[in-house]
Amino acid sequence: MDEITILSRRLARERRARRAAEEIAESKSRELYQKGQEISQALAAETTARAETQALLHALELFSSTRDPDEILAHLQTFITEAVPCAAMTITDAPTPGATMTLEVSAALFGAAHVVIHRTKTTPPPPRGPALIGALVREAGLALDNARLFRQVEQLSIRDPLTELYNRRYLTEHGQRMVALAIRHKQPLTLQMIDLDHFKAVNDTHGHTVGDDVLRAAAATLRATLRRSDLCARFGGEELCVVLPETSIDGAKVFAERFLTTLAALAHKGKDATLFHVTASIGIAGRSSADETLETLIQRADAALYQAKSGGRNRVVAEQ
Amino acid sequence: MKGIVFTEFMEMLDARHSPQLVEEILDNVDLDSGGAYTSVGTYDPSEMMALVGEASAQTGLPVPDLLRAFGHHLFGRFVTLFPVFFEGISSSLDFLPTVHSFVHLEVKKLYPDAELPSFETDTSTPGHLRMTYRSSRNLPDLAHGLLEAAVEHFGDALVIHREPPAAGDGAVVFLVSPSD
Repeated sequence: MDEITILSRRLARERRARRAAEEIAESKSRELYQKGQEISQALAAETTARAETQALLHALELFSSTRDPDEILAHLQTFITEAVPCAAMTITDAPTPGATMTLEVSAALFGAAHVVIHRTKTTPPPPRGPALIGALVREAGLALDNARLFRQVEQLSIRDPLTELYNRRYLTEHGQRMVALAIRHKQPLTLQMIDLDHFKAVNDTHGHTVGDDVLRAAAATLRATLRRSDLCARFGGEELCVVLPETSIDGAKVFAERFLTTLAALAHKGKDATLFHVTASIGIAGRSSADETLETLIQRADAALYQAKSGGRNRVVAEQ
Repeated sequence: MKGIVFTEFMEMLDARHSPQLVEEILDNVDLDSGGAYTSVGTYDPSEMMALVGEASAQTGLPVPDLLRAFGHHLFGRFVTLFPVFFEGISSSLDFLPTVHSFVHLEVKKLYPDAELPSFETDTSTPGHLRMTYRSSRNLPDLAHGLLEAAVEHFGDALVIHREPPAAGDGAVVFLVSPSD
């Protein structure tokens, strides 16, 4: 074989080998590209999942930062609107803990015109659509339950269960704050002790159930005449206490007289369906010095009340 | 079998014998590839067997000797082409276990479906090495040549003793021990 032939044969083989190598390089590149795409997609999915988790954590933080059910619902609305672009959304809450909360979401995203998500006490069913929504609804529901229970407990601890007025504990705390405020702002403040007349006789004659009704009626009458800033509490068995900020003795007298009139006019149903009326005695004390306290006011109002009682009852006495 | 084995074999024949010989070998064997090998390709191992057989016939060298010589040549080429596998290693006793634990792993990263021979190493006796060679292509002479070249490359005073294949899985054991 001559050299030229040897070389041309070799050249032909080299060319063929080079083409094979090029094909291999191309296919490897394509493979790498594919892998890159797969990794990008996985990363995107991972990022979305992480974003959803972050959103959920943020939502949890907000839900647990407030005890106001309305705030919780507002947060839920915000989160869901951000997570799912919706045409319309309404959240219908259920007032009792553990009851069904209905979340109606109209979103083309879910591929259905209407998705109703119910949260029940036993199982939160996942909605069709992002799992995040279900999780948000579930957590919001729990937060609402907590908020409501907290409210209930809070109210129980500061309210008198019979009259639903504040209880003595709350009066002691809050009343003192009101006095301090009045001192700081140099505003007048009055405190009156209201005691129902002959209340023991009412209980003896008509029974304690009727007695309770009378108390409730008196409390309701009182509450109806109060301003938002006023404080009314059940002090004892048939004793009520009213604190009126930014009110002078004269103003307090007017308030007291009006109450007595309204109260006396009320007819209560007693034993054997008889009707009877009840009156009250009221003692008023007004803030007079810079070191006034709730206790000193109560003492002086009590003293005035005693005078009202011994003076004949069904009257108002203000301290001198 | 990876293309590099083919390309290096052809280069060795070309350099140590003649281009003429290469052409004559190719004329006498029937190859799907036509002898057009690229080192990054993959080819049927039977082509290698055919080439070696024909080369033996043409040169008069027995196949085992030819393969052992090729092992020597191939090792030298590995050192030139892939210096990273030899970095920081100063003896064949240190190097040889890495063939299985490092070199072949790296090859698989680039060529996941590469079929490589397995070199199980037993270094429990200090200064000694026991290598068990297994391969579906069954080329213990090639392995022998590679091992000898390795020892020579590092300048170690070691001898290689080859045990006859055990009945069963066709594994061949090489014992590398100090020469004294």
